[in-house]
This record gives sequence, C-alpha cells and structure tokens, in this order.
Amino acid sequence: MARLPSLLSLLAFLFLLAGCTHWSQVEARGEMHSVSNLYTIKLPPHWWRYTPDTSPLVLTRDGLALQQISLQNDRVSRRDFEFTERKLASEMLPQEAAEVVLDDLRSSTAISDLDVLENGPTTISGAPGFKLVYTYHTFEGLPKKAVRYGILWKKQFYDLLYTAPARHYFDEHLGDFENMVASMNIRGVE
Amino acid sequence: MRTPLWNRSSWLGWLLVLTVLGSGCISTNVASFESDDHTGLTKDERRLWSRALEEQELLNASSHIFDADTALVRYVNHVAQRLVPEAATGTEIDIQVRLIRSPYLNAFAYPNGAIYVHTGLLARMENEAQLATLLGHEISHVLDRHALRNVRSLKNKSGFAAIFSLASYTVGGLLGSLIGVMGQVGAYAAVQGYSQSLEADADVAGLRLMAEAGYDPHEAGKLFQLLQQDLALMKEDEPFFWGSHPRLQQRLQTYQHLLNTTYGNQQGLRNPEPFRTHAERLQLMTIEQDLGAGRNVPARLLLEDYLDTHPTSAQAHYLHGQYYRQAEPDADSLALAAYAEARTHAPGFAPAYQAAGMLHYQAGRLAEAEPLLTEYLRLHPSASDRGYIQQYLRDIRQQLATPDDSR
Repeated sequence: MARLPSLLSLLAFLFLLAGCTHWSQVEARGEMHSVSNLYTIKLPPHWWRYTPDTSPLVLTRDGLALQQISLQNDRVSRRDFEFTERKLASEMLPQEAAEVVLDDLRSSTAISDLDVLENGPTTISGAPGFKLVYTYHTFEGLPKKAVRYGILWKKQFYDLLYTAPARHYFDEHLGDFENMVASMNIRGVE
Repeated sequence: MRTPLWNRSSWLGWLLVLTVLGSGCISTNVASFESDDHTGLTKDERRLWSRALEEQELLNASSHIFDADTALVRYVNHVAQRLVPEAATGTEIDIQVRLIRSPYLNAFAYPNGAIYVHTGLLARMENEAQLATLLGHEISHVLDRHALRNVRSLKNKSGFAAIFSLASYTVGGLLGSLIGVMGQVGAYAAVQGYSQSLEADADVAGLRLMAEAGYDPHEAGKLFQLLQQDLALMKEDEPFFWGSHPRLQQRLQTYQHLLNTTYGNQQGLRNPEPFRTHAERLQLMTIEQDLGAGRNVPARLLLEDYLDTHPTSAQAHYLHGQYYRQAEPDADSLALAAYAEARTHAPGFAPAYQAAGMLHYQAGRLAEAEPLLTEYLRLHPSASDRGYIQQYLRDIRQQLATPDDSR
C-alpha cells in the first residue's frame, strides 16, 4: 500500500509528459554544460529534466511532488528571494549567504515548521560554500526534507536544492543528488 | 524559489469555490448576524464556511500560529469579546482570535468569526483602544457577512471575468504567497480586502463597536496612521487588512470626519498599561523577523522605541548591531559598538561575541576576531554554526602564526 501513492503519482506524471514537450529524459551520460558556460555537471541518468534552458534547472524522477532537484545560478546582484528583501553580496562569507537563504525560508508563508538540522561549511568543485539540511511542512501538512548547497563564486551564486517527502522518498534518491553535486565543475576554480 | 505546483493548485481551488456555489444570480443583500431578520446560514454560506474551516484547521496546526504566550492570546480574545454586541450572541458565529507569527501589519477574518492578527501589528500598537479598533473592524466583517456578500458578488459577475480576476492574483505576488499559509478564503480577505463600500461599512461599524464597548474612539485614526507609515517606509501599495479601496488617505479622512462629528466629545478607555504588559514581549520577536524579512527601516524604528524603554536589553543592542550590519554596510563601528553594549549588559550573551568576531574576521582584524570567536564557542559549545566558526579560527590561527612578510 505504501507504494500506491508513488505509482499513482508516477502514472499521473507520465500522463502529463505524454502531452508535454517541456520535459525530456536525461541520457545515461548525463553531462551538461551550462548555457553561460560557467560550469559543467553530470545530471542523474534517467531523471526527467524540464527543458527550457533557463535558470533554474529542474529535475525529477517520478514527479515534482515526490522528488525535485533544482540548480539555479544567477549573478549575485540579480538574485532575489521570494520572502525576504535581503540581498546577497559577493563579499559575503558562506555563513552569511546561508543566513540569507534561511531568512527567506523563515519568512516564508508557503511552508511551516522549519527545522534546520545542519548548517555548515563545504566546498563544491573546490569553491567554498554552505550546506543546509532542513525539514519543513508544506501547507497541506506533508513533511518534507531538503538538502541545499550554496556557492558564491566570482559574482555568481550557485544554489543546488534537493527536496522530497521526508519519509521514504528523501533517502531513496539523495544519492543521485549528492553524485550530481560532486560532479559539478565550476569554471575558474583551482 | 517558489515551488510552482502550490500556486497552480489555487487556480483549481478558486474554480471549485465558484463552481460549487451553484449557478444563477443571487442576492448580495443578506441580514447581519445582529439583525432580527437573520434566519440562519444559507446553503452557499455553509459551503463557504466549510471551506474556511478546512483552511483554518491547516493554518492552526502550523507553526505560523503564535500560541506560546497563552496570557497574550487570552487577553486579545477578552478584548474581542467585549466588542461582540449582545444581539449577535447565540448565533452561529464564534469570535475567536488567533495570532500569526509575522512581522507584517495585517489581520483578516474568516466568515465564521475566526480572526487572525499578525504579531507585527500588535507589536506596533500603543494601547488597547487601538487593538479594539482593529478587532471591531474585523468583527464587523463577520457580523455583516461580508465574505458571503463578496463571493456572491463575484459569482454574479460573468464567469470568465470573475475567474480571471481571481486567478490572475494567484500567478504570483502577495496573494500568491499568502495563499500558502491561509488558503484562498483567508488570503482573499487578508489581501484583496472587500469592496469599497463593504470596507467603509466595516470602518463605521467597527468604530461603533469599539466606542460602545467604552474605548476612546479618537485612538482609531492612529491605527491608520501606523499602517500608512509602514506602507510609506516599505514603499508598498496598500494591500493589507484595510483592503485597497478606498485608499487609506480617504479612509483616514472619513474616520476624522466621524471623530469630529458623531464622536466629537466622546472619551473612553485607552488602557495602555495592560496592553503594554501583554504585547511588549512581541517587540523583540518582531524586530528579529523584520530584519530576517529585510524590512530594515521598520525594524530600526521599533528597535529605537524598544531601546528607549529598555536601555539595558542585551538582545535589543545585539539586534541593533545586526541592523547596522545589514542595512548600513559602512557603519561597522556602530555595529561593533552595539555588540559591545550587548556584552556589557549580559557578559554571557553568546551571539554578541559571534557577530563582533565575524565582523573583525571579515575586515581582516584577526587578532581582535580570535578571542571573540573563541569565547563564543566556549559560551555556546553546541552552536549550530560551530563548523563555520571552527573554520574561521583555524584560518585565523594559521595566519597569525605565519610571519607578516610571508602572508
């Protein structure tokens, strides 16, 4: 029975895909060069990718309600958040950038019960950044869990997010996301 | 980034609301709950209430509800009950006020009498009479069944126009963001407000309720001024609980006219002390939320008021430092002075060490940063940002151990 929602969601998702030209399946190699040529990354094979070449890049395996990866990169000065007026700045420490992201989540009216499980330094492709792990509830009361990496590098902000229902789905596909993050190669990082 | 699916569901929601209410033209003239002509809930009203109840249950179960201070919640409800007219008791409505943990100046009412007030609005009020003004306005919407009248009015428009006008708000913007927390019925009441005439009716009726309950009606206009000031500071439009029509200035004038005529000589209770005793504790929380939401100027104004009456509050001085760091990047010396003041008043207050240490670290003043960050970790060994601080300290110690000429 526990698999029933997953199957229904998958069926609904495939049904939508049938009439939609904006999704394509990631090939086995999965290598992707960003449009702006700022980075390369290996996408999880066989996931579905929302194809318009605009930021953010959105991926899912069985439907957005079951798991979602997004990768957004913008010039720091152009990155606006939805629920906070706070801005990022190129000279910020990763910890300060993480605080801006958390302020956006804390100010959000779309989620509740935010609980930050981890907030610490990390590196991606050799560039210093932050890693956040947090749980929250959607307005409908669904408990979700998320991992988020952020990198401020050469006036660009790279924001990588994986979110899924906390029970079962989060752990099931976390590895795909972590492999994707590990494969990221930001241009110009030594 | 907004998760797009949440927004799209609201299109369906509105379609459902409008569809289930049936077809045909329905009268928007309905008797007030205060009126002898009131004969119970109508069929479409029951559906509206049912939907409102579903939204309330989700909202009440969420962390957005501020219920940590039960004395404050009881006090606000006590004021609300004073305003409910005798004629409305024993009817279907149940006036219950809950607080939403949010720095914004907002409040809204569901048709069944559930009223939600944002803590940021309470934190900025001065006395009980101003609270009674706000609650009187919201209670009037409930008593006079404005939600039902509003939905019927929408329903009576051509289907496409009505749906389009609602759906257009769900694509983004404030209503879109609020739908997440309060659902469609609540978000509509909170942001879209009611028609010009219904809002004006609620202004007049609300003023009558608070004056009849013995409050000083001359405090009413001050609440409008508070809102007007906040909107001006944030350079926002006028979407909040007063609704967008008629414009705030026009409504201020209407209030002023009523105060000069109908209530010219009427005095009454203001009750600043009991109000302050209960609501003051919201101020620091609101300042912190304001800063988190990037509402720097409202945060500063509330901070200055708070520091006037609490000059030894370490938390307030720390937040003052945070304000300088966030809003005035060239005012590092002022931020450092505020953090030092916080440490003076509370030597064990860890955040003031962390913030000052980071500021020195960023500016390359490593010798000043090291003892502050070390003390921070000593005071707060389980700090959630321990990983960052340890990294800074390793970096600082490595650099300090390296001779200057090789750095």
